[in-house]
Amino acid sequence: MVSDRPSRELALCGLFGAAALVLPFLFHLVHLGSLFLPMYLPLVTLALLVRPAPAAVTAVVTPLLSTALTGMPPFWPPISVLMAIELGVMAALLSALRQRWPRGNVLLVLVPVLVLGRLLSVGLVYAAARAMTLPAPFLASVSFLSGWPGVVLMLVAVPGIVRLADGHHAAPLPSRERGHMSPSNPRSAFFDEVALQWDGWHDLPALEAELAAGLAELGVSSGETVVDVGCGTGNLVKALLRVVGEKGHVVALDISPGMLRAARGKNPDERVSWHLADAVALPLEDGGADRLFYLCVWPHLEAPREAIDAAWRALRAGGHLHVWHLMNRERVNEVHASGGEAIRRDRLPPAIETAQRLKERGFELTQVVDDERRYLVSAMKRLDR
Amino acid sequence: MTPSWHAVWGGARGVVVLLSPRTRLLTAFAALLACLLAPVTTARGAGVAGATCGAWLLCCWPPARIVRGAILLSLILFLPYLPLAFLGHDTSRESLDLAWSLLARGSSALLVSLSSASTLSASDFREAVLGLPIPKLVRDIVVQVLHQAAGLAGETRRIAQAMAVRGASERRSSSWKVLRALPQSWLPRVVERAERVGLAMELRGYCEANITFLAERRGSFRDFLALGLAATAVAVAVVTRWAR
Repeated sequence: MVSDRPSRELALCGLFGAAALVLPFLFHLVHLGSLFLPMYLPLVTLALLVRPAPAAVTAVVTPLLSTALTGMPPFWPPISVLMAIELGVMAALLSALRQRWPRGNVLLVLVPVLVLGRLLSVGLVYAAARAMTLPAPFLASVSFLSGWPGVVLMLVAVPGIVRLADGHHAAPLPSRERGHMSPSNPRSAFFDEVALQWDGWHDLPALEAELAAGLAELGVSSGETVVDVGCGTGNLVKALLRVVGEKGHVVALDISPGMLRAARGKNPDERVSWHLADAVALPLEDGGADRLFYLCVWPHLEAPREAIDAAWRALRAGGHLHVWHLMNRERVNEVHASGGEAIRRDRLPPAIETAQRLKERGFELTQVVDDERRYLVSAMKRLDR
Repeated sequence: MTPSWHAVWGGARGVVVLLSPRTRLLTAFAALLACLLAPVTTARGAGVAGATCGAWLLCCWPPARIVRGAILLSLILFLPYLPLAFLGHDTSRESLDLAWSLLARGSSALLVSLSSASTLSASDFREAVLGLPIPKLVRDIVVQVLHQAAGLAGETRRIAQAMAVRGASERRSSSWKVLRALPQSWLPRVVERAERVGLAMELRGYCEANITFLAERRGSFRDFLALGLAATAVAVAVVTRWAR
């Protein structure tokens, strides 16, 4: 998928251009030489990830920069200029075709363009050799024959890298893992943006210890099916997996694909099912959950009443629900007020108010705390309802 | 492996380093153009190319190892063309002319480009590129490529050192291991780094920032003098080539 974010696009151009400068050195180190077209590999990959203009510009400037900084490929005979033209044309074509068919098989675009690139290279070498009165047919033949191992390497390596980069960019979830969510929730984009930094803002070992202690206190036991609503980067999922045992199951859901990606990377465990969904449309059968956690999520809910209804349906009789924050209400609201536009107005109501709403729906309150250390409202779905 | 090319940056001690980075880049381009345009198969043309290249080297005064490296590299690069020059030419004079022009132009271009690179540190290069009246997209990409290349080169050097310590770079089988590792680890790391860098740039509003002060900076008398001399060298090369 071609990037539509200028910063990401520029970073990809910078890094893949840099890789094209460095890779030839790595290849020479292990005696692979230029047979495998090391400069082409990153630039061809880049062309499948960004728009035609940046792809072509990077492909044109990189060989010229390499010449200016390292002397290779040489300015005279004008090999670097020929490479710049060939790579520029290939990159523009590849990127344009990829934009036209973003979901098509990469190889269907790659094969014809690489063959075309080889032919263009032969034509350019022939023309330049003729202009310099060098033996043009001989040099064109050498040019034609020499690049094929590099073409094969690109056909093998590029599709995998493109898949990886596309995964980073869009993270399409398999359809069975898609849930339901409000299409216009601005928080989704916000949490996507911060997903990669999120864990960097926390002291993870301390958080891990705090979560483990909390789960022990709340009585989470082996074999339970636990729902983590708004799983974020998966720290609670990780703690739950330690407690629910081999027969337990964790249902993790979030409105942000970026957060889900991070969480899934951290917890590659078959006992977890991942869902792109919000708190109103819980991806569970009625009465399918033993316990629901809303860790650091409650203020971000668009419709708390509907979320409580959904929780009521999802919990079995005797199941528990926990609205949990690892700091007090005042501090939570301060953090949100200084956060991004999407969450600035997300306010955590007083614990007593949250408790009242749960009680109105029929939950039996088991714990209501808002002290220096935490905000916790726990409730149970009564057996007689 | 010694990817020492980025160590080339900023090692020069000549008068060129007194010029603004933008002027250094422009005069280097003019010197390169003069060397490539001069008809080196005539005495006058060879004189112009030689004088331009020699003068530029003296003005840059790059470290001796760069000059030695450039000469060695040019021999490795251009000597294989010599037998080719003798293919398809009737007279040995023509062949010699062709061989000489390849060697002379190629070597002088190499010497000029490497010595020019030695007059610019990475930050000078960035300033020079940002000060040029070129499209923003090109400018941004060149700056990013150079910036990231330094980091990646350092990382690749560490990989190379680790391989050398284990004797892996000497073994033939290591070639195939490196080939296999490329799509599995090296390029995925590049992708992941790009994602992180992109996000960091986005958070800092990098793409919205428009750096104009470098383009607006005025040159000194020294800069104008250097540009005048460089333009003269190009003009002399053009006249020698086409006004024979």
